[in-house]
Amino acid sequence: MIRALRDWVNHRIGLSDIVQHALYEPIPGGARFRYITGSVLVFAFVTQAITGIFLWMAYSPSSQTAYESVWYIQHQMSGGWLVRGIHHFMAQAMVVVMALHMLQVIWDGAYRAPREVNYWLGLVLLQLVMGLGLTGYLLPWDQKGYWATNVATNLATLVPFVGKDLQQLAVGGNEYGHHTLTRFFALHAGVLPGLLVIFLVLHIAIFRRHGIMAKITPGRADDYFWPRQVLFDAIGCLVLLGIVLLCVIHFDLGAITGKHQELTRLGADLGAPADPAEQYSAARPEWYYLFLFQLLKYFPGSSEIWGAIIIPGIVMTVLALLPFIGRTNIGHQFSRAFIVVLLVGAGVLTCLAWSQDYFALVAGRLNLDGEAYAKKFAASREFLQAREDAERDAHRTNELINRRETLEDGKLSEVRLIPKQGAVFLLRNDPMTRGPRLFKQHCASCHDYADAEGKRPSGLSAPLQSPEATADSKVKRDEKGNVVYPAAASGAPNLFGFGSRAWIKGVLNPDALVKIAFGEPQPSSDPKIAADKEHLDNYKRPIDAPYFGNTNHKAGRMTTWVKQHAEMLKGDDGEAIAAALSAQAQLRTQTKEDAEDTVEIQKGIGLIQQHCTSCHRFGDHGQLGLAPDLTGYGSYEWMMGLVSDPSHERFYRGENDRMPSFAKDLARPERNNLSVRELSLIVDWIRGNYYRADDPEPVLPHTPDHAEEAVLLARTVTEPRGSIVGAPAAAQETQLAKAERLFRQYCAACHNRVDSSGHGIAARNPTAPNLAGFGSREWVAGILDPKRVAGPDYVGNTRHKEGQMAKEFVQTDLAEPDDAAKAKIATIVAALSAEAALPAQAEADKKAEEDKTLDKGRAAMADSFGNYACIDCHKYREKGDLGSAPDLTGWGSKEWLVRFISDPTAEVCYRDTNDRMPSFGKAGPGPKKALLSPDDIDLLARWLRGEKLE
Amino acid sequence: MARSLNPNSTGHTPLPTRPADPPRRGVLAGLVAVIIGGLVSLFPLGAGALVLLDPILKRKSKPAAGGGDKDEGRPFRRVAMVDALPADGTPVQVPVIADLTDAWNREPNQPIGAVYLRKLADGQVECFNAKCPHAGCFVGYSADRKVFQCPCHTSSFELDGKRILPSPSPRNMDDLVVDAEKLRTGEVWVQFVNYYPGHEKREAKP
Repeated sequence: MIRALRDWVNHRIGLSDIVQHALYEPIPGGARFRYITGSVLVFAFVTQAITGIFLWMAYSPSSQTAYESVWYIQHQMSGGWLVRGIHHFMAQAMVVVMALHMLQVIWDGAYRAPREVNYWLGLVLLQLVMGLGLTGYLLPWDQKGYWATNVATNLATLVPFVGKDLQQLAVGGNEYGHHTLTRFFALHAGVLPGLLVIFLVLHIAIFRRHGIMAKITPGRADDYFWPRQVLFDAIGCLVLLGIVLLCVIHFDLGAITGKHQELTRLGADLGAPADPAEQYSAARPEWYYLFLFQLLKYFPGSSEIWGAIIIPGIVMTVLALLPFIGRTNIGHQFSRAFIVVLLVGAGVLTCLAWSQDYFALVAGRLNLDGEAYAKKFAASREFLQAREDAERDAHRTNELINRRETLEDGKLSEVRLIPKQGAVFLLRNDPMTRGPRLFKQHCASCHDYADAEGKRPSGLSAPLQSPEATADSKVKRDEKGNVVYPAAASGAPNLFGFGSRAWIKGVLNPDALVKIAFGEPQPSSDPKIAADKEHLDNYKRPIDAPYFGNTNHKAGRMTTWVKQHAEMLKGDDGEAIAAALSAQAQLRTQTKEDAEDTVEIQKGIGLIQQHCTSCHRFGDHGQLGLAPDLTGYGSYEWMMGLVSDPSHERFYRGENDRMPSFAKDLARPERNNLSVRELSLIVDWIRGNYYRADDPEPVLPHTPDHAEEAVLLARTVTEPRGSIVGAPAAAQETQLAKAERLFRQYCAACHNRVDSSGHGIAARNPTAPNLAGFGSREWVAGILDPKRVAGPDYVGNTRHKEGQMAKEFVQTDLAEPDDAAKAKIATIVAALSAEAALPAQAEADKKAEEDKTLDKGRAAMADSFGNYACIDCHKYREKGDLGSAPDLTGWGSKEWLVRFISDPTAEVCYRDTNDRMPSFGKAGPGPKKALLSPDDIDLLARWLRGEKLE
Repeated sequence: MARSLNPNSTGHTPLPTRPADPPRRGVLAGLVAVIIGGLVSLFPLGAGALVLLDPILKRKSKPAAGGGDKDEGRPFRRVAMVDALPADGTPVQVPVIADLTDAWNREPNQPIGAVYLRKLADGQVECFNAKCPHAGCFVGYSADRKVFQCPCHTSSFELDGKRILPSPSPRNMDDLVVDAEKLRTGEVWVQFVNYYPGHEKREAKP
């Protein structure tokens, strides 16, 4: 029955002849293990073809989908990691077995006549297999493959005449892109395997024509291919498969029994997705190309063509000529020596490449030191660091793909997987990855970012202060020989934990607020520079200034206020304020505390309203103008607003120290230093607003749209949100309205301007004289009235209450004036008030001038009232001196008021006895602008004097 | 000899396997057969070759703005504001943003490369293409040694772009033109050009 079937088939296709021919190849001298390399190579190739075809069914060769499809194969498809792993490691095994095959062929003389053509076919197959390795490396489109292949295709331009065109053909254009992948994939899956099959068939056919080049030792019986050689071949394939599988599971036998998640970590490596804009400093070709990589290092500059093209070309030519060289016995020995030297040489170069890259690891353990090693160590360290960074990015990519977020009902969402823009989009928009890099690039020149122990993210270092330089760029020294450092502010606050309770408590601590400490200067790491004692680079010292210490705000009003209220801030009130302000930030790391401490936060809010809103706005309390808005302090939207434009009305306005506006122009984003999207990455990073796998309630960062919205929202806090289309243009603000607005914003924090019937502008917390009717006789009379001078309308809420004017003059000398004194006081009042020359008083002043009341008053200023006369302290016209009290010449006139408002600490005003009044017209220190412009001060002065405004 | 399966055969003896003396008509027929056969089999290859050579053919028919190898005519691109550059002359790497065309995609505002910018003492700004002239990796900057350092094959360059010999790199870092007018208004505009790596004399990529 079986025989009949066999005969039927045989008659039709001649099967038994084929089988006969295949299996009964004669092997003189018997089967040997040294003959297995060819068959093992065929097995390896067939395995690659099979695994390749199954991978092909899941792989998508486009720059937008290649990485993603490979990720899916590796992590989500059943057995995907296994198929990919076998494909990856079998490719490397094939290179090794190919080297062995070539060694055996040459050693045994199987390359000589009549087998020359077969040998050349083998050389072609060698090129095809190396080409398959090169093209395959790019296909996952990860950073490693992308950059390594980039370098390789750049080398193609070295080929004379056609090099550049060759590169363009390979890359499919000028730069790597879609067509690079499609071309490489077509080569890898179509052209090269096709050619390989054709040449392999020819190779085997011609091999069979001449038969095996047998190694004969006497006494061994002849064999046929079947069954003993087939057995040896099969054992060889089994060993190969075993080794490959061990590599696939990373030699970790225990992992086979692990859960699904663990298994996908095995197999071939998958780096971070290719990003043409992200430098990849650890780019290396696959290990079997490392010898070429190392060889190139010895051919610097324009001699590169020798290492890349000429020497490999010569080697290949010699290899091709071996059949002719090997005709004689000497030639054959040369061939043997050549192939051994070649393989050993390649091996040595490979080991050299490894040793240079991993030098830092070895050197560390052996404690090698010295200048010769320094450069090697540095280069190796950089490579290893880049490797670490690459692994971290790869791990992070996987984490991000598996991101979930917390839904409204508290449950976790599904994994979000990969958006259409690809995995690279996820990594580019990850605050954890990009935040520190952007911070280093744009913020770290001023801001520090270090935790309480001084630990910083990798790549950041403590801010350093360089010494002052002499004209010839040497370090400047003072008379004592000490190094001189610039005194000007050069830094910015430490932003670690910005907005947290601990951070805010630091702001409210008078010592921490202005702290600035310097470390010891560190000499340069370059020994040549370190030897030069006058070199600037040897005297850079680290600065520790966590808040205002290294800024021009150090001498500002906040510092004064914190110092004055240090006692209150030290206790529970300070805690409450910090808790309340920090709650505005809505930090993720603090959600629990913010939810629990509602009572304390409410208390804190009350305290903020009470103490802070004289200068700061906070919700419905306070005004913008003197200090940044505390509404939403530290929140995402507040931070986006601040960083995009710190000189905005809502924040520091003209008093912004040196912080640039990073994204001021929203209509023309190309004019900005940073895009709003990048700002959002930095802010989300600082606030910890990014996905973390170990987070019980994970969140996702803000999208670029959110970011734009936030910046817009932050800025429209001061303006009405919408406008009416087609409405007539808003009326220009009148001078009167402007003066009132200015007063409200800048003066009404402290001054009232309320008349006796209660009309005017009231301060929330009046701590300065009531300016209603300033300069008028009634006003002057009040300040000379012992019952009113220390009252709330004059100096009662200021420290002048305890001053000489109030205590020792008005309340003493003028305590109970007799009639003569009263008359004198009245003339002084008239005279002083006349100095102001108020328009409303013009008539009365004219009359007083005519009837000599003013002359009497002016003279009376020199008369003592008991202890003092006015001119004992005040300068007045030609009498008296500056130094003890403000100059009364022209008191209350516009010029006097302007001078006074601009700078109450001036020599002619209060000097160091000035209580708390800011110098509204003085700029600085540093780039801080004056609070009010000269025009504004002029307007205020005129308004205060009751002049007619338009 | 088996009977022919052809029902119309005359039963004559079939032709010998090879003619003893090829007839002359056969030569012409053979020639034409080869020509036609060659044409039809090479035609798909020829058509395919057009697609394969597309990057080169496209470049020759549609040269870049301003023409192939010449640098003039390439657009200037804004890369940074002058204030953003450190005053002490430390180089910073900034991306060059432009529309990125990749076959069928054209994405606006993508990084197409990077440059190093450095403020000079006289207020000028120096600009280098961040790609290493050796093999095209991005060059890094070592702050403590104050040199540019390429991580791929350790080419190093001084701050002014000159290579520190011995160096794998065949030439110095490629400097790029900065628009002096715009520099005065506080913006850094750079004529961004990529050059072929690996050559002593630099040659612009189309």
